[in-house]
Amino acid sequence: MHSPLTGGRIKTQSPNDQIVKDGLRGLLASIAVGFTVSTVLVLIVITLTLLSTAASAASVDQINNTKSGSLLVKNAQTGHYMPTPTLLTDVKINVSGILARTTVSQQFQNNSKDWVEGIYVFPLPENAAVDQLRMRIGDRIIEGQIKEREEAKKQFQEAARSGKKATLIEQERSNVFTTSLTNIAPGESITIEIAYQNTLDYRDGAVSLRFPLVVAPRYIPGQEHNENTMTSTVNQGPSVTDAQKISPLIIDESEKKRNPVNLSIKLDAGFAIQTIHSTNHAIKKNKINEHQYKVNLVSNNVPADRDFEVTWRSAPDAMPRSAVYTEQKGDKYYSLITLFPPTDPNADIPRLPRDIVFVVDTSGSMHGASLDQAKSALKLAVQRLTNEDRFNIIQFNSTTQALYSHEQPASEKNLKVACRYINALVADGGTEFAPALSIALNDDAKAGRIRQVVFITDGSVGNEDEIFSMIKKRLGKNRLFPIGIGTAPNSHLMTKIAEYGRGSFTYIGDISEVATKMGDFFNRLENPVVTDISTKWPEDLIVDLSPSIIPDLYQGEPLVIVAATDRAFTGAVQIGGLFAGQQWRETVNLEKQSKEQGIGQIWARRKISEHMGSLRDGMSKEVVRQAVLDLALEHSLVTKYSSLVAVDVTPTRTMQFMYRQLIPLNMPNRWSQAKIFGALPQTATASSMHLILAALFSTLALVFFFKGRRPKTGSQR
Amino acid sequence: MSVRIRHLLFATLMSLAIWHLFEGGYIHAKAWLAQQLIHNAWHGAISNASAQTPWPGADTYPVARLTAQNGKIDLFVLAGTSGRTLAFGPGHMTGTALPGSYGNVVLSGHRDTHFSFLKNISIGDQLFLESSSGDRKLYEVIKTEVVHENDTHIARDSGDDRLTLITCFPFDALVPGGPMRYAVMARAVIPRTLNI
Repeated sequence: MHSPLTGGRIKTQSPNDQIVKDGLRGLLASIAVGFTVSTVLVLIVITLTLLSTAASAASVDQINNTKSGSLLVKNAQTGHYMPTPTLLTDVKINVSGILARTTVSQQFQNNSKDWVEGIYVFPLPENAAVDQLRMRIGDRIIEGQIKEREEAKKQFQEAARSGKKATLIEQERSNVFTTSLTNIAPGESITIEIAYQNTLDYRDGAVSLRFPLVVAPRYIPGQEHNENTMTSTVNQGPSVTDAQKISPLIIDESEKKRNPVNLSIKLDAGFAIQTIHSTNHAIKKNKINEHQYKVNLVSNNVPADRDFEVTWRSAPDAMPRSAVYTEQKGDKYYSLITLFPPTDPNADIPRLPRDIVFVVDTSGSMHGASLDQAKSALKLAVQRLTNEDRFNIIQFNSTTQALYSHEQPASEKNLKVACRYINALVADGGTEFAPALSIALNDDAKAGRIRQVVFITDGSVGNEDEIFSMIKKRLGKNRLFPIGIGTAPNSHLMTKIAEYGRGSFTYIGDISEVATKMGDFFNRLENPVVTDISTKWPEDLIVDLSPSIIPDLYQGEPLVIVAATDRAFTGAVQIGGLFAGQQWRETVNLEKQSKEQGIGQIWARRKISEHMGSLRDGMSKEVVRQAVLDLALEHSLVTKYSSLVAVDVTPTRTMQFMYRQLIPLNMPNRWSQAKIFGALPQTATASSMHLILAALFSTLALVFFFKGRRPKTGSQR
Repeated sequence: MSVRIRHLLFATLMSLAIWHLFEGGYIHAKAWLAQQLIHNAWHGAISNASAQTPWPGADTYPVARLTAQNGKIDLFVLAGTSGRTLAFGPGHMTGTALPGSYGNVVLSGHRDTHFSFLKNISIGDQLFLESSSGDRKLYEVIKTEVVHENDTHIARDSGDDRLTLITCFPFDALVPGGPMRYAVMARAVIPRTLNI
């Protein structure tokens, strides 16, 4: 009778009450316990589910964490586990401006007692172009040859069947390449050498080179293998049936030094270097001259669990600069021209006043979030105008409507009007893009001013060809800056508009991105450093430029132009344009420029991506394939349609069986990836949790209902 | 007294149960109903060759129709992958290749509603995608992979013609918001026969 809760309420005491009270006490006790239990249960359920999410995420990794000294891979047929060969990586990088040519040499050792076939995955920077493959077995060197993809595959398979050593490089994703090795003798070591080139990151006068030494745990060689159908007779069928389980090949902590690396860089920056800095590794620098350095890793055996990153910074320069490198290949000459914007933050570059026309799409497809994004982007843009600037806003759907008949000064009063106009925009009707574009291009830039046209649209436009030809015909000195918005903008159309309009394309996928994406956009819009860039070559030379329409040079971004000329020439190339409204010109004597390897390949790589892009224009696949293949075979490039294959002539395998083997890659020290998409979408709902809680609560309700009845039936007896 | 408290308790627990049942069921009901409504918008999109919103005020529209397992799975894919969109149907990830075009078409959907079938998908399975412009493509599953949500390589253009389906992983986790994703990669194949 000490229940403090019930004591105050029960006034009389009778035997019957006593029973009721006992029952009540039991009930209250069970309520208390019940609630505690249910609360605890709910917490447990939530905790467990949270833990299970983490645990199953971890288990994917843990499955692959072998405890023994080397990583073992289960063979699908025999169930045997095989030890992995050890490996050494040697990297040599030649830098010309913002382009780097890298030669990677990798040594494999088969430390098992069997003949094995191995698959090694190596990470390459984005946009890397592989063009060389060499295999060294003892004293013999086997040179890789570029072949049409299917042919290369066939050659590789034949080699595997006949017991020859072979290597194949195919393009998988843009930055993951696979090296397949067959017939590695027990105890034998093989060295694979590849060469590739890529463009480096340039930001505010600093160039950074990154050599990714690790692959994120994501590659599934077994299945990738199925995709490529590279099987040898000795090991037919799917190589790894449970590839899911071995997917991330992550090696033991104690084995971190499995992929040791030597690395050296021959650096020709194209500008005077002020500082060189390495983020993760100790480096040694040897100065050759103002522009050139030799950089080495201090310790030669570096664990491959973190990326190598080195950054060099230019001395402050108030003028734009150009750097030119050339290469002769056969009877063709290739020149690489890099334009660097001024890097002196204190340099006073006069800013030209701008006339800017905003064209905003208010058609029905912009309804909802798209129009909200467009409005906030537009408001941000209008707010950044200065007193000297002039502006106009044109909206279009089925009809075209302009705020002013022509551009008006960005006075405080006019900006207020503009803001009201923007707020009142409503999306409805069709998308008649051409009339709006026509009105925007009615005028041209006045002397001493810049005229820019900003398009904000989701680009669901049909008559693309009409638009392109109008831009080509009427662009003049105008610059077009399309901003793609909404759920599914037509990026192809916008990229092309930017290309023909000599501006740039900005894509805003989500309202939360408006501020950051518009930041980059404004940088380009407000800081064109050199405009109307053109190159002048010696007479009667056939010059094929890439890009064919040269864009402007913006603050903070270098501009790379590659030229192919049909024959050798003497003399100079003139690079010119308007720097802050004034004529700017640099004359470069090509004979005196440093000769570099691989410039022809850069040119070819660009042409190939132009061809691949034309697939989207509806160009026939066969035509594109042939054009790409021709370039790839001439310049020895691994593409979607061509692979590198190296085959040894002498058969060496004497034993019957060969096992497929995987060479482990270190876990990344720190997860790193280009945040193109930010993160993948959230794709789960709480429905299961709700349903389980529903079941839990109804069970509890029933338990209490029946538990509460028992004392009552007892008292009635 | 005891009866009242008991009833009160019973009622409280039952209403909690019902609320959760409703919340859980609502997600499924919405997912199902929206697909029925989109069906109509789809036929509008096919006949008018322009984007149609499935219901007034919708901020998305169907961009493709995904069928699998001989038609047992029949889903309308919406533009965009915001949480709001994914409640109604799988979404086309903005910035990736458009359905029907060449490139890496990336779709994502809820693991417990529309994309729950990915749990049982296996290599070699066929997926069929029809775009609103009428392009039809058959894909064959070549690979499945578990990735971290920040590892967006699977959404990048791989240079080939493929379809990537993304959903949350693990499939049976109760609480949403986990960092892992399950991705199914399929490459375009030239069909011998279409039995869908």
